Amino acid sequence: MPAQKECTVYVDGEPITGPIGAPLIEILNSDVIRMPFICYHPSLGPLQTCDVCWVEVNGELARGCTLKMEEGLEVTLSNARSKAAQREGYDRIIAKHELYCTVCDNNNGDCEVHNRLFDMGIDTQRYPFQRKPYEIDASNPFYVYDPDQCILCGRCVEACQNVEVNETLTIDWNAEYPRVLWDGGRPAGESSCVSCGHCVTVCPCNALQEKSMIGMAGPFTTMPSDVKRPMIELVKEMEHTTGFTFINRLSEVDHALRESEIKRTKTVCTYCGVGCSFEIWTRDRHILKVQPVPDAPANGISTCIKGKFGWDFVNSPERLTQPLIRDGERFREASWDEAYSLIAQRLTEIREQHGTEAVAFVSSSKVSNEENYLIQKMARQIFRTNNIDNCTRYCQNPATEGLQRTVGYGADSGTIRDLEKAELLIIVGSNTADSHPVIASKIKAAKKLRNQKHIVADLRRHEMAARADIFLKPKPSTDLVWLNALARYMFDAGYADMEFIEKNVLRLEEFRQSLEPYTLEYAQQITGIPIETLKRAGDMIGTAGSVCAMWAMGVTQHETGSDTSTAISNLLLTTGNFGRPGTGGYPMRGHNNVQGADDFGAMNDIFPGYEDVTDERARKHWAKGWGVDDLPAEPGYTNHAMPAAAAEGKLKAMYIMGEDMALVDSNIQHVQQGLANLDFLVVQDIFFTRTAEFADVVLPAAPNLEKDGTFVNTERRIQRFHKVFEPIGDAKPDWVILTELASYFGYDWGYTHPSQIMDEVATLTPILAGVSYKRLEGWKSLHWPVGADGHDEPLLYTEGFHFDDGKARFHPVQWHPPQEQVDAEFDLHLNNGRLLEQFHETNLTGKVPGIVHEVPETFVEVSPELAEKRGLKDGSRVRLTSRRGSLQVRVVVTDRVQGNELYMSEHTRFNHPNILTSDHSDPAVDTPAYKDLAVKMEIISHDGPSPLPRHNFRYGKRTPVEGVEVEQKWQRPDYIRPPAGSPYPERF
Amino acid sequence: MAKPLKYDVPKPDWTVTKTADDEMREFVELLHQRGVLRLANTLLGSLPKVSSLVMEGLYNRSGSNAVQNISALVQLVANMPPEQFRRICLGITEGLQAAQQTRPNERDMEAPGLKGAVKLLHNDELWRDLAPLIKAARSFSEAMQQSTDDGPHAGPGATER
Repeated sequence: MPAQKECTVYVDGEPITGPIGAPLIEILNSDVIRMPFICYHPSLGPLQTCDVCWVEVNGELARGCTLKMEEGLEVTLSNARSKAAQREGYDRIIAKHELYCTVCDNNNGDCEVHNRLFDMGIDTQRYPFQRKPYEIDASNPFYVYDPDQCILCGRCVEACQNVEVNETLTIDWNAEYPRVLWDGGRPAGESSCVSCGHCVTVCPCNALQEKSMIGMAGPFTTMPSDVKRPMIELVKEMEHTTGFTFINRLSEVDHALRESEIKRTKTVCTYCGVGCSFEIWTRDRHILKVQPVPDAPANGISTCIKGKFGWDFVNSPERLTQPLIRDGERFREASWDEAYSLIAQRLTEIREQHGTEAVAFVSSSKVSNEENYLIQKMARQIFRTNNIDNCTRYCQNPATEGLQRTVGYGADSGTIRDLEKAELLIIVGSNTADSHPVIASKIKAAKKLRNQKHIVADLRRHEMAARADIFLKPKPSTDLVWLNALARYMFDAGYADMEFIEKNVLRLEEFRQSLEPYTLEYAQQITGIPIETLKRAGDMIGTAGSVCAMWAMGVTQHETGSDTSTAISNLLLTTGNFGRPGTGGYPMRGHNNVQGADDFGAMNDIFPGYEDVTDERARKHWAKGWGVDDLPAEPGYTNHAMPAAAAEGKLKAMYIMGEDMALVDSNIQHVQQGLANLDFLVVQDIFFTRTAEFADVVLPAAPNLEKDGTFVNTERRIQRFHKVFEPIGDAKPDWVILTELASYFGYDWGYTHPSQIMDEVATLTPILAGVSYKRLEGWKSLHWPVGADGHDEPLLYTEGFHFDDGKARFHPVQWHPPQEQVDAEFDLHLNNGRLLEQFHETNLTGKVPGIVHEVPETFVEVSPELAEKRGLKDGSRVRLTSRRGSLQVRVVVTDRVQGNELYMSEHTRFNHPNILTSDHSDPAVDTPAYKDLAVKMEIISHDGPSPLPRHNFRYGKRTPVEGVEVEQKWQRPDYIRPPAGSPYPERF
Repeated sequence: MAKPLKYDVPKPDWTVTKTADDEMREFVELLHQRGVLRLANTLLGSLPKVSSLVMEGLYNRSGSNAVQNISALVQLVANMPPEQFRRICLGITEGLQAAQQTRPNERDMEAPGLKGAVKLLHNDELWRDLAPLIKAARSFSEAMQQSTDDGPHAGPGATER
């Protein structure tokens, strides 16, 4: 990046140098606080609400937070007028906010109100504090709003409106006593609030606070309110004579006491693939809060409900803490030595009796890179088998395939910043606001604040679709058709970037010929999308200066998943949208380490770094690295194929780490039959899962908060996470278990820390050559490929594509209808996927009471027209039956779905939609076609409780505004600009 | 064919927050690390000697005076409204500061002489300044008289000796 030009400004006559255009307040306050402030936040910019940062510029008072560095700017901070205005602003703040810092759970060094009291040397309360005529709002399961502590800085409103862009919070500046409002005046817990926690994260004091903090943060905050309140009153009386200084020194002592108890540890979220990192604050094993920071590279201050509040599972009493061994009709607890010995004995026997191909390993997108590396090393080095796979097979491999066919790397072309920069986003089969909420926030903000355009193609009218400029609603399983049709339209309408294609892309003619059948008329016929809508979309794509395409499981979990992914990439190549900022293809990786599980080789056909097992040179390289003679050349079973192989008796033993495949693979009756047919099954997990029910040995593992390691997010960003707690009971990190188990097979790996595993990977894997824990310290991260010198590539293809000749390839693909079709009997299409609040089969989020309060059970969404036709309403109970099985579920009637299309979430351990799904899969990568699914519906009962509580955010009514709208405050007739005194300092 | 088996995880033997045992262990460890236990042990080891020294220090006129004076001071502070006490503190502080800032060569601190003294007796401004001091001295004198009459142990809660 070019160096920013610097300039010099003069503050109280002293020269200050910094980049032109940088906020002066940040330059000045980079070391100690010189310009006082409360409402300013680096991720929110100047809100101008607190009236504390007054300075003089050219003889006039100005709010210092608005000033940018410019040559020759002269600012006076410290003269009497500025000081008086600053003081007046602060006095108004503490007329609204009661100072009781020693017994406040927010007295942890980051309270702006507390800190400014010291910075500004304020010793007396000029305006008395007065209560507001509002009650505390504790209706949200995760946080509390206390109007008596609220200073109306508006940080929460700005974060909600323009960072999260959920548009729930506002301030009614014209009210007699303004306050923060949810949906214009609803209780927080009954509003459109999605509990993302942005508002709580940015609150500068304790007005908005995590419930997990309350009464837990300080040694004096535990006391009951009937003791705390009189104590506060007594101290406030004393302050009339003592002033603040003495009592606030006590609060500093209290803060120092807390520092010895509260631990802050950087970690990386273990839910979706966005890769949010944040500090997790703990006292003992109690999680006080998750605190995002502006420095977090993927998310900044953003989180979703799960990342911010979804961590109760770590301390769940249901955690496994002891190895278990099947003993007749029960499981009994065992020592690690007994468990390891039994595993070594049985796997060795099976290998000797049936060959190495009779043993298979399944890894997980939830465990670390190092652990994925080790389990594939165990499979290949110790068992000489490529029967190793991971759950990315179930969701993401088609996207990888589509990109590998066309541009080379099977991963996101750029970063979240590129998604934000793009002029146009094409979002296909991605319910981003539910499945990747923080990325959704970034792109919703790009749309709201910078007029980014969105074309959304989906079966459901979810939030992204509702906000789109163009919503394409195709018939199920037909995305490939409209994508090919738009590619053809690009050529026909002259939008194709021929210069880019001629220079960078091979197989043009073959591609154009393949597009011949895909006229707009044909696309309309197959997809049901009107020609005019397709043209509008085509024109928008053709004229956009930069385009990114995002897609997720709405594309990949079809028989045509790889081909549709390929068609997306073809369309981007046609319009020259690779290799520049704000361009590229972005499959949204579903779990925290989907990308890493593949990158580190836990797949049946590649070594770490995507070297093919059929490549003799690669095999020799890895065999040498691992000290063995040779490695198998044939790809192994995919995890989707393993249950069938087990059912057929070809596979005799499996070792499944961190994956509940008995629930999450498709057609689970079939999967469970396969697992039951195994001679020996090891399950390694943090909970006793459905898969564990079939196990012979269950090993208790540790989640990310109990170990060190790295994950790779959807941007190819490698990030370090740190151990917060020791593992509970006898549980162990997966890398420790694998290392210890290897020694029972006679392989002394000798790892004592995951950094040593990463060092080994870097030595052997070219695209990870420069990765080390040293380079990942703090908030640093690396985007692979990483050269040995540590140089990484946030944006791919800036100097050619990842093929030997540096050229991309058009890869022609043809549409065919899926095998699973609706017919007269199975007359409804059942789409399935995620909801914002829950995750996967609820093994983690189901342990979080607040999340269960929001979505207590799964349900099926039915369109209003189908509901009317069948006499259904919210709460009706129906039986859904597919060609494989049936389940019962309650109904929610919503216009998010249309016609004869249904939608059911995957978040259940009981009536899981995989009872219904089929064995059909994408032939290219064997990913199950979960979303090609026909069912019939019978009514069990018409009446019943709604499965989606009325307090759920989906029933809320958002209140979009531009932001804090502080101008409305200034326009009040009773607002008086500091330094003059305010008649109502306690009100606003 | 492996029959699927259920398993109920036993009640955990670990806690999210520290148990009393944990707290006590940590408390003792910290007392040790900070040298408090060493001091306490040393103190306990030499308790007979130390007790005797303390009693020697207290059981004489000075010790008895100190205890009684501190008690009187505590009673005084407890009976005084905070605003008044704060004013007194401020007055003392400012008086001391003024005294410290006064230099011996300042003209108004020179001896007034006989004529000057007579002139001062007619200076209304000076008498106004001195009035509170005189009143304070008078009150102080009355209080001293009362203290002499009532004896050193009189005060709220005192009944008989």
